[in-house]
Amino acid sequence: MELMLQQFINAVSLGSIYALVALGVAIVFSILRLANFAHGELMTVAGYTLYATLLAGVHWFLAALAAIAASVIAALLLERLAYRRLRSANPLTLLITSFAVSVALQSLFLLFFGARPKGIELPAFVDAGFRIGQLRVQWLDVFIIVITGLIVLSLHLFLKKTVIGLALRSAADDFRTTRLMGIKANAVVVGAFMLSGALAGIAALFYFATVPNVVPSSGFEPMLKGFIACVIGGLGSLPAAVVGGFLLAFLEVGSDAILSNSLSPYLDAIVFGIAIILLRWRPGGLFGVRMTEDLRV
Amino acid sequence: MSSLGNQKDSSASPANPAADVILRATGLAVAYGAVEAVRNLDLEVAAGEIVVLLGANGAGKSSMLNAIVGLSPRVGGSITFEGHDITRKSTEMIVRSGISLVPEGRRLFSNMTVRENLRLGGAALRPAEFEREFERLHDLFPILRKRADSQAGLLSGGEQQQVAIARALVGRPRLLLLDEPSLGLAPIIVNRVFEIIEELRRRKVTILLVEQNAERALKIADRGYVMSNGVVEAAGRAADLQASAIENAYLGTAGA
Amino acid sequence: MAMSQKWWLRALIGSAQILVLVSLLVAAVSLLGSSTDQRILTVFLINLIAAIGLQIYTGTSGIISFGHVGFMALGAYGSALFTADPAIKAMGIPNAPDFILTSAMGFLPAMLIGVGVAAMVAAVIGRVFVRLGGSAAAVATLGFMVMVFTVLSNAEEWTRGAKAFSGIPAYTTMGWCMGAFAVILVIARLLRESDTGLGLRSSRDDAIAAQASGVDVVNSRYVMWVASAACSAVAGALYAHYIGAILPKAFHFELTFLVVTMVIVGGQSITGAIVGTLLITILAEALRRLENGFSLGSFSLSEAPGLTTAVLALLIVFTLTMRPQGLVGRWELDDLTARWLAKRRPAANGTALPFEKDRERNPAA
Ligand SMILES: Nc1ncnc2c1ncn2[C@@H]1O[C@H](COP(=O)(O)OP(=O)(O)OP(=O)(O)O)[C@@H](O)[C@H]1O
Ligand SMILES: [Mg+2]
Repeated sequence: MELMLQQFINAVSLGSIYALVALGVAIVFSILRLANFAHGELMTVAGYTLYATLLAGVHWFLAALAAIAASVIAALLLERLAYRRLRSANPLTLLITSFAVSVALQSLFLLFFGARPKGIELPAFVDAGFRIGQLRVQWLDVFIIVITGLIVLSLHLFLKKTVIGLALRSAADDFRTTRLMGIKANAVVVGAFMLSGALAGIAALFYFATVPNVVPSSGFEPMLKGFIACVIGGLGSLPAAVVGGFLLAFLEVGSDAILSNSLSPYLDAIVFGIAIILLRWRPGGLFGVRMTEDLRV
Repeated sequence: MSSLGNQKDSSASPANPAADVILRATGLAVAYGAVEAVRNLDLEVAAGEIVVLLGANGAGKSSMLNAIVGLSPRVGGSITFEGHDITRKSTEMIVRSGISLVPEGRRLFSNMTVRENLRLGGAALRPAEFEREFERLHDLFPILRKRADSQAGLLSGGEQQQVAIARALVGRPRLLLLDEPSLGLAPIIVNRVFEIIEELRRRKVTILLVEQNAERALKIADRGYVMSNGVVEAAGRAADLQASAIENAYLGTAGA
Repeated sequence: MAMSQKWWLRALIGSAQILVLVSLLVAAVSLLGSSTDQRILTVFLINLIAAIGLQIYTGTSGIISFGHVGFMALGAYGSALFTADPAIKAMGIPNAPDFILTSAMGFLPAMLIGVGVAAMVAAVIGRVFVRLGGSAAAVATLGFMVMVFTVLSNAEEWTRGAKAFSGIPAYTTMGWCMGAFAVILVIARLLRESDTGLGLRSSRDDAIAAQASGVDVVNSRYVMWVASAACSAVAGALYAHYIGAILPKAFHFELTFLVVTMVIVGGQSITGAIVGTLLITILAEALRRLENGFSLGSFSLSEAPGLTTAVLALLIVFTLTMRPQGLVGRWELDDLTARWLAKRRPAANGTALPFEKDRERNPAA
């Protein structure tokens, strides 16, 4: 029973991270039809910032803010320097470009920071926890789950209640008509990248709190998980991204619990395998969102 | 090529030359790659007028409206609105300067509510201002009160058209462009749409209307232009255009 | 005359023209080039096979795959495991099953085993993957690549895990490369010109219209998918027997990027894949030399890693901004020669050129 509960908390905590990554990916995708593979590198940027600031003795709270800010700035730079000129390019070109951007950034990290892992000096409270009976709960997990819940809730309200939020939704539906409402195309795109960058930054904080070292390719794995979460949920829909993130985490933790020790190294392969079977069953993802590829800017 | 009217001849064109022309397109040209949709087109709309733009399918009417708001690729000519050159402005700036387009096919944001659609139409308004405008539209569009929180995509075609017009009106535009508002609607609903246009006319909204339903459109319009193959075939007062123009140009039997 | 050409004849003529050009290149480098040049040429040919392998799928379906490096890995490990000296295997992977430990096959049968494994895996997962398009396909195939990587890095009994598996006999000669290239080139062109390939290519622009006119998009894609996986595996096997030591990391992100780039930068045809590969190989080599040049004075091995890739990636973004259709678009070499011939001989005027339909995008046509 305790073990079950323990696994459940693990899954929700992991699912929170995946959901945040998936949301960040989905926001940009829904508006620009751009699968931004460099989303992982936004997380890596946050990771290196966290490493550098904590090393310099900055208070953890400020370091966390700096990390998020770094992701947001990186996201905005990406939009301005790489993606803006390609807004009307065909989907395949966009896809390859974002892949190339991801590769280029990884190479740059390698150039600046080297291949060796940089250990992040986490504050002590990350390991702290409390007990309920036999069950030991880490404060970190509680923190991750609560913050993610708050973020998802406020994102929901933002998209429902503010004009910018409504514009983000309408642009995902029909960009041309959104401009007819007098809403600036650039503002929408920049807004989407800012949100995406902020989500990448926060997801990175949680990710690096559980895996406390950063290498040039750190962002690849969470990025891929986030994308797979989006695809099994239904690429382009935000609720689907959140559901996909949690589903993926439950698959992962569940398989890990069931699998024998000799198989657990293959966890990722097995989870992806299950995801593929899910796609066999529903090629459009669980929510099977309708996509209008032609309505980009 | 028949030239029943000549829009360059100012005596034949604006209904009242004294009234201030708020929209003026001069030598406008639109091309999609090699396809020339609009060629050397001159058009004027004066404040308070209803001007109708007629023409067969593919004549270039939608291209013309879209060109005014900067959505179709303009390759020549210029457009001024209230004396300001808007030729090179972006769509969003043109809309903000007071022109609103109800696009062909309505194009509501179908998975958002009616209210949310209207909120976007009045994106530049402050919340309190928006509420006031929203209320103000209720008597003209009762549907807004009844279905405010319904998903726009679930409304009937006629209801959607009303929401689309309302959405264009919330921002209090000084010029309304309507692209085939009666398209695909049942006759009884078409009546409703024309009623709305007439009501707007009473409220002194300036309208540039594209319609397939030439007869009805000419009845409510002050002036009209008839387009064919991207050029103006005829222009003049609505009453004068009625008989001859429709036969000649609009039905596609013109020289072209 | 061009009109009456049978599809297979067209494929063969097209292949022959390309083969002549590549043979000339190989002959020139073999006679005149340094040993470094020959090394580069061999790598070029292996890349060429990998690129054509991927192009069989991408060029006909219009769908990108980031997973084909996974098939290369299967081909590489398949072939390597069955050819390596049993004495070496007894030390490196003592716990592997007997049929691997004792096997000391020749190159061809071992390569065919690798190809067979890849084709089988492709056949199983293909049913799902051919139903995905665009970004969903990109993500899922990337997931597949990571799947293969995870399995290979952890199956220590078979592969030595993340460590290098070495002692692979150096079978890959220029002759093998050319032979494999010729065979795969012909296969690729035949598939492309066949009814299946033609129908699938027409579905690139409008899948619904193609389906309405009787093209079985899903099954056509499936055929291409399996064939393209098999050809990629050949490239993998050649690579393994050329380098002599392989590790899972070699078949990961970077190689994926390289192969995909070759295909996309080149264009949508087989000729495009070749042009792309040539360009990327030359660029990569030039950048590498430049990079070495910087550190030549200190003679350090730790030259700026990653610079080549970064610059390459930026160049690709730049090329795609300029020419989104790829360098040669959807043209094949024989289209170009046929056009050229038709222009040279006015008498032949009035004869329709092959691929009239493919020309619609070309302003010159
Ligand atoms: N986005 C586009 N790309 C290419 N050609 C276009 C595009 N939009 C319109 N055209 C072409 O431009 C010409 C004019 O089209 P337009 O839509 O302006 O006509 P219309 O008068 O509004 O017709 P309808 O009554 O059918 O709405 C047509 O020949 C059309 O095919
Ligand atoms: Mg129209």
